[in-house]
Amino acid sequence: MNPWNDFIYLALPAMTCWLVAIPVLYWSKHRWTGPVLSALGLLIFAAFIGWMWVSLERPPMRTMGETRLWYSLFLSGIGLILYLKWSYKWLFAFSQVLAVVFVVINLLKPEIHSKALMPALQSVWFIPHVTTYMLSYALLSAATLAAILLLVKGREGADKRPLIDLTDNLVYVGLGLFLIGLLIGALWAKEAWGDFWSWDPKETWAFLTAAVYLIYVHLRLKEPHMSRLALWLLVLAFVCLMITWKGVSYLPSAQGSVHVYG
Amino acid sequence: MGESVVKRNNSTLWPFLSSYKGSLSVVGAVALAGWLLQVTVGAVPVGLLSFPVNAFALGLMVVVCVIMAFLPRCRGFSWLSGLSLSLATLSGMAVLALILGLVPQVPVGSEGNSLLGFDSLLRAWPFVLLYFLLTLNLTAVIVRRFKAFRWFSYAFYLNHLGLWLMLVAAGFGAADKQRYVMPVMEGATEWRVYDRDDNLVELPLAIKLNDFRMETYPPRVGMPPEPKFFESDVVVYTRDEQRLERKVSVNAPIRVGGWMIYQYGYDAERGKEARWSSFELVYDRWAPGTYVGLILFVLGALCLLWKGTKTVKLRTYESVE
Repeated sequence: MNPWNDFIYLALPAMTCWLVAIPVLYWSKHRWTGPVLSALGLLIFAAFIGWMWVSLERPPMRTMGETRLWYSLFLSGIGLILYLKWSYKWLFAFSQVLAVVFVVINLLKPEIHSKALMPALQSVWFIPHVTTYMLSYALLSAATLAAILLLVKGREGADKRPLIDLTDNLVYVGLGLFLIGLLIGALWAKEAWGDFWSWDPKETWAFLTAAVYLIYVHLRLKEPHMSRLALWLLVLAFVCLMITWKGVSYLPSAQGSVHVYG
Repeated sequence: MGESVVKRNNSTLWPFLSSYKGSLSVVGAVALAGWLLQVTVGAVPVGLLSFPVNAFALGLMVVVCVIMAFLPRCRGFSWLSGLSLSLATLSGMAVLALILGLVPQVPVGSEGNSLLGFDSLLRAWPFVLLYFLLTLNLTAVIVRRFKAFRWFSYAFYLNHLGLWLMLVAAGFGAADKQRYVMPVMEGATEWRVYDRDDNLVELPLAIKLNDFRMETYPPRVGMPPEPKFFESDVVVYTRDEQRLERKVSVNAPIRVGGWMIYQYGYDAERGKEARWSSFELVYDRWAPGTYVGLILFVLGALCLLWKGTKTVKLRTYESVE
């Protein structure tokens, strides 16, 4: 019996829980209704993965469709945990929606990624590598917005404290995810090419991006108030991030990069 | 009189060095020295840092840091393990990474054309010296924080120790890495490869290629069929007379006695009917260190997600004492 045939019967309730949790979180008077709904969705989804594991008699991590299951599970779970920890509603909403998107991909095109996917990309590391990056890009973009807002606000006002704290937290969480994406990439590279790190142009730019964020984090250790230098560093880091993500393909130094496909 | 001069110099030197400007000046001076070396003696010689030189340099670094940490009121150590130097070395590495990311690099093994080594930056003196300085700074920071150990700072230890292990095992260990590409004909057994200087090298293991299989995607109009999957059935023979039958494919290498064997390429002209398959053989004795560092660093990064800035704020910045 193939659990995929019955996927929709568990996927639909799980997705409903995740999606309904968002408006409930924003508008319900009870603080816990949204998170509990999301956790219920998580439970249903985990049950499906468990069932698959048992009936396949191996961890369901081999095909792209299977790894997407885990991604949806983790994404929804991370959003829930980070909400409980930091109370960022938008982050919760964002991760629930993204989790649903990946379930929908599985429902519509069970093996979309294995279509014309070159052998180098056929790995269990592919999805976690790319998706942690996507999540970190989103968080670091938000941090950049906050930094620009602080730059525009200038010196006046003592009401900047919450925004400064938000900026720092977004950078920490975003950088944490960025580093995890990078390290997953290193593990994968060792398995696919024999080197953890080979200074491929995309890797070089990711290194530069991480270095600028690390400078920011370390600079902030010493300063009680956010300096303008620190804020400009965030803007600079974001420029590097965008070059890492999109710009690399257009650089003369990246001709022949192993990260540029088609 | 002489003593007071020394004292006065001492009292202006360390505050200057401990400032961002001072540490940035030191990093700038190191990079400049690197470029002077580059112009006069050329790129860092291949194999200069191979075993035992790398292990010795590393041991020396750790021992010097530990000794300095236990010297009473050693201002040199305060500076070496200080935040200013960390910021300065990180900035220096960022500038070098920018050059690396903008200037097209010549392939590994061929000589660069740039006098300053911009097109072969990873083998240029400024890069190697700054990498060394960064590792030294990180070593000093870790030694200092272990001297004043606090469980509370577990995220710090995970991140910094993980990064240190990775910098050391993947960077200092890079010179010891052996890497060869070996084509094998179907039905044949091969154990010889050519190194970069075209010398014939005999490896401690032999590979017999029993079969090469390949699947392709349905061809698109006017395009050659794209490979979907390819795999080699091999038998690996080792010096201690082991005989291992294995399958090797992309993303699924095999490990035999410290050697990793990767599916590398195949007879592309013939595609599905390929008569030979090639393997990349890598021997990296420092790899376990990199793996451990990587895992510690992942755990540390997870702590970043979990803790955010809260602990940092509580702790503020801890000084040497």
